[in-house]
Amino acid sequence: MAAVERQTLAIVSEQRMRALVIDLSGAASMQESDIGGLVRLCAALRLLGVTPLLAGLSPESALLLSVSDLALPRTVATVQDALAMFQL
Amino acid sequence: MLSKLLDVRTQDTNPLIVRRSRSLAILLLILICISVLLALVLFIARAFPGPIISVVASLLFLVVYLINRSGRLALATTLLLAGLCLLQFNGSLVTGAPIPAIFFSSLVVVIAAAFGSPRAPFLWAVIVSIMPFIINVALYQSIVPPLDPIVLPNSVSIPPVLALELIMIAIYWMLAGVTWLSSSQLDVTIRESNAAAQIARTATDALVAQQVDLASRNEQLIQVRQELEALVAALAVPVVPVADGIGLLPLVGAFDS
Repeated sequence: MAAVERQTLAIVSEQRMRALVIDLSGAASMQESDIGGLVRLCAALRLLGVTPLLAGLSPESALLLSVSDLALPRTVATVQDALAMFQL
Repeated sequence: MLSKLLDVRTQDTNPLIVRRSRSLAILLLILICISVLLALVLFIARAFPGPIISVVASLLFLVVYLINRSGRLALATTLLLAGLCLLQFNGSLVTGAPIPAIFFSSLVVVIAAAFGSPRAPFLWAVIVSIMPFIINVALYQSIVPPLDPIVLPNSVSIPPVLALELIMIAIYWMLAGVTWLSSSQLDVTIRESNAAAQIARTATDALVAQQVDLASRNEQLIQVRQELEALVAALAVPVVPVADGIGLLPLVGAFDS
């Protein structure tokens, strides 16, 4: 996850992105240990001025995130919803 | 000291020629020692003109030794063989009989086999077979020597000179045949060894070429692998731009903390 974080931050910074949709619909169910990394990535994105948006969360992952004390990013049901939000 | 005496300044790089030159040097040193000792023994025994013939033989061997030392093996061998024939002729004239000088001619056939081509013993067998008849002409003014049996001091008679000469000629040809066979076998073995060595050299060259080719291919593969690694690293985080300033990060599979 650390490598994904580093590379994602490098790419969004390099391409001067203002928003990043993180699609979790193809990811396996999250464990408790995975939440920290995902939230840290979202926090770092915010610091770079990029709006993170989580899409495609599974019910198990949503349950895990809901009990977390960490600042959660904005979420949408699907990638289409996310793109619609950006009026695309 | 011995290595200095056997030092031959041959220009030939053929190991067989170098070995033969060294062997001829050893043989000539042995012949010189024997001739000198024989001259001393014959002098003490007052068996004249034996000492003089032995001294002449020693000088011949010394001259041949020096020629061989200068790296001219073929000339030295030819001179040695011709010199031995002349010594036989000279010895017969000095002693007044072809015997025992013709006994030494067997040495000519053996030396020709050792230091010449496989056919050399036959060539020299022809020459030394003619020699007794030339000596007969010189000594008896006839190609055939007297046919009377030789009577020894104890009244025992042995076969006539002609019979002894014919026996010696038979021995020359037997020696020529045997030495030709052994020389031929040795020659075949050397040729086979040379052919095998050539095949081995060719195989080594091919292996070296293959090694160079493999090294080149390995370098190419390393380069391709580096490119693939860079591509895999880039594909590991596929941030897809979906609109101006908006990207999509599809996370697939299990999370790895």
